[in-house]
Amino acid sequence: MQINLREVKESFIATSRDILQKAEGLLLEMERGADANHFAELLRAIHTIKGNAGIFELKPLIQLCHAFETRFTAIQSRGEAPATEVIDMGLTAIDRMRAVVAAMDDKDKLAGFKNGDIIARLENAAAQGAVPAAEDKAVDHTFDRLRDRTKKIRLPEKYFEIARRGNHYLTFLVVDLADQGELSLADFYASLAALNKVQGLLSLGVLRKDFRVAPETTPFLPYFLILSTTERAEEIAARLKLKLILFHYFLEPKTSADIRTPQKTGSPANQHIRETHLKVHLDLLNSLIDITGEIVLTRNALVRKMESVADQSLVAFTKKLSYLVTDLQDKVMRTRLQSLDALFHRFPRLVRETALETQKKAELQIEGGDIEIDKAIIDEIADPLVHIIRNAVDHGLETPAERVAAGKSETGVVALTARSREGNIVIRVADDGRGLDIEKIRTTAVGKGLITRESAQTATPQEITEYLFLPGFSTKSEVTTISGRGVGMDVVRTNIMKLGGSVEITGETGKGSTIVIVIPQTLSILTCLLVEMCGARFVIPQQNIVEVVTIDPARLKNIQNKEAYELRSRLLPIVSGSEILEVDGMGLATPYIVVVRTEKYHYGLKIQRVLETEEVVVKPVPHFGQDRQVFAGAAIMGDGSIAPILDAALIGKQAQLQANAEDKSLARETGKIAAQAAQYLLFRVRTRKIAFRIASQPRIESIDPERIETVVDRQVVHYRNEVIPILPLDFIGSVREGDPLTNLIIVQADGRRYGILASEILDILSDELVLRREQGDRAEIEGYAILDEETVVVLDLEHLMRATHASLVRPVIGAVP
Amino acid sequence: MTIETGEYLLWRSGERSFGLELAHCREIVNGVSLTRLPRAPQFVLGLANLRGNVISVIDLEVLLGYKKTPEYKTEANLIRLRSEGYPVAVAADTIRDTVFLTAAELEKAPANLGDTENNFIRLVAKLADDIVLIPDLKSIAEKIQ
Repeated sequence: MQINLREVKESFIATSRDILQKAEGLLLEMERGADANHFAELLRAIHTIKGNAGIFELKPLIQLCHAFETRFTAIQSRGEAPATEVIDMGLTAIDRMRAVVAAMDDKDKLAGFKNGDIIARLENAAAQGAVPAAEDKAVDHTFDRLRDRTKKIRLPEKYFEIARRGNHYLTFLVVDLADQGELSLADFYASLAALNKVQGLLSLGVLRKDFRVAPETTPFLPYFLILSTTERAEEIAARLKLKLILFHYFLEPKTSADIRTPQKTGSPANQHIRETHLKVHLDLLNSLIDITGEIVLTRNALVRKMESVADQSLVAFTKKLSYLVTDLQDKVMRTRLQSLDALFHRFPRLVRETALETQKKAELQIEGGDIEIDKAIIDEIADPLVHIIRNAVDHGLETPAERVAAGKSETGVVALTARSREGNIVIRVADDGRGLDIEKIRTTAVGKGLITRESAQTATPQEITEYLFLPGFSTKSEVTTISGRGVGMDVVRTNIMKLGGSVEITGETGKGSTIVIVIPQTLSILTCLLVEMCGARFVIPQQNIVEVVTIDPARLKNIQNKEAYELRSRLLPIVSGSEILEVDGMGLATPYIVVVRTEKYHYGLKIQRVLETEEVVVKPVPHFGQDRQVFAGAAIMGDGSIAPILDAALIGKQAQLQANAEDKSLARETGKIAAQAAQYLLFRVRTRKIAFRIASQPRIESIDPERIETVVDRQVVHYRNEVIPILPLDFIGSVREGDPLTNLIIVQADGRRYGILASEILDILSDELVLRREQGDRAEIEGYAILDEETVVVLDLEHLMRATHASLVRPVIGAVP
Repeated sequence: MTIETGEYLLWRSGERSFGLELAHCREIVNGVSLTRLPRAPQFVLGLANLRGNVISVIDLEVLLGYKKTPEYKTEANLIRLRSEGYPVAVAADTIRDTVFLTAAELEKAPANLGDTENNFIRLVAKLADDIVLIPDLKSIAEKIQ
């Protein structure tokens, strides 16, 4: 029987990581209030690590664990809650234990660990505080004491149940490993493993120091085994060639007479011993997913073939198989999902440390840790989340003094919540701190030259919030250790966007800020639009697509040899398939434009056909050492065929498009187009014809005059639960009195809506009007035009709306001009 | 560069015969659909789906500089290679046989080969009726990263 040392080691590393994580969590809990259970669990955890470390003779780890145990046992015996410094020390020790475990294969690294300081800190404090147990001093040279003490060990109830179930001896035996002669450790474990096959090896490890009785100088390594066996202890020791020191039976098998007494089986207690989880190697899991994908594709092909098969029984089997495969795929895909707890559990410590460093008081509330998400995504969002949470404490929360002054509780709350919504996961980090300081963000952005003063002045609060995502932005200098690795919110956003997610910040001054991350639950499947371009099929990720429009040839423009399309009075740069794919696409009709948008680019892609929306599996494609790639990978379609995935950002780069807002020539042209292709809405108010230039599509409704109300000198209309002010036109002569007006034109500016009342809507004029304007004309009037020998008043709608808004915000009563 | 005696897989692609140590060949799949990959280098015939893996398919004649452009086709016989990194296969017109070649039959690539060939051809085997070019798997794999 060969024991696989590598596997044992891997399992040791994995188990230790889990246990240390748990210990860390316990420590953090203990800071808020410790009871006996905390101590017991913590000590048990560290003790397990120590025992396991014994197997691999990891001296540094054993020493650390030992010092840790001594220290915390001392604190426990005094029955006091550990102070912050003690928790700190414990956390430091746990960190070091982790490092030792991680480096266990690297002898040099192990030797490099100077654990003396940590151990000294632990021991020093232990010596100061501990009440030396008098009996420890008397060293008994016989093993009687050892026997007495080990008898009193309380074994977990689980062990008893296991032994009871198998009707075994539950044996505790102590052997001396130091006196094994030629038997090497590897042999020892090999025989243990062999034993484990037939019998139950429940636990093993080196006995804790306080159980040791022989003077430290004698080579004596007491090693305990807890077994659930049918054999007696002496038989086992003889078979394993172990030097047996002592043994106890905690439980002995019942005689056949006893067994006949009816036993309750299958009690809940029995069931809960069964293991519910299994550790599986990631490679194995990934290949399982690949194979499943392949089975699904083969199933699809089979189903298609079956369409021409008449044999009904065969069709029925195929159907059944098909259902099973769907089920299989669903289950296998779920194996990659991991609960967010795997990520969230490290945040309490992060918040604690950040708070300590910044001298703040913070509490982390976690909700939704049970939500499951693709492991690959967890790995990707870990760093961004660390950054966001640090920020929440560092930038978001105020100091305790400030908080008290603001009438808040001293301790700030950072709430981390995760929810599942329509296949997406929404992670929210909210703090109840000072919120966003819009003015400070504005000045910082200008000060760092990220934004021109002019555009910063006119920006709305939402736009200013977006400045936080600009590369190079940070309202605090990055010197503090908390702000860390120089990751800014721009990196956070880039990383999340790579996953097909989004990040938003909102905040209210004084009340706190909230960051919302939306990410897909799984990475391996992407929703895409399948299109045909230059005679081949490609997919475009749905997340980049704004809309698909049918080309109106009249709106295709050529500007400086670049194609552009006029879409709603704006010019959109156009990329053709033949240009980007470097194939001859001439002669193929391209009746559609897919409008795509990325962080940096906004353009249209000319395509031949829109096929369908499909969920695809993404596979990587090599770059062949070139920097001219336009694909994000390849998609394997439902029928097994491959379609390259167009990467909107890479296409923008390869087509050498100007990044958003920087394309000056287009922007100029856009202005020109707007002037050229101006459209006017022509309407009549009583006897007067009036027009205005259409900026955004107005909505026209007929309206019951009773819904119009007059408030003092202003008119408002109730429209879809909204009160909309009416733009006053009474500065135009001959519109004031007459028939009721029954048409409502709704226009909007700056997100505010206004109404214009008209008797009749006449026309939309696409021709440029020749405007006449004279000095002394009101600012609300752009000019006068002659149309069919009638004078038309052309309103400057923007000015009119602004003036109306200004009058609205003035108080109604007591307004003095 | 050692000359390895061993079993070789032989195939024809276009005008030429090629061979590769059997240990470097992962599998042979006939009649696999190819999808062209625009903007890729000329030696890339396209992509193929082999049991859920997207494989880059190489035209060795173009890679070695015997031809300027490959004859694009919708289907090909593939020899999938054992390589690190992205999966790769070479297209073959006809798969011939596996033969045992001894050091006597294998020679280092002659010095008068062109630059491209020199980079990619490791050995040349002289058979009774044919000359077989044995490319260097590592250099090919490097082109696919």
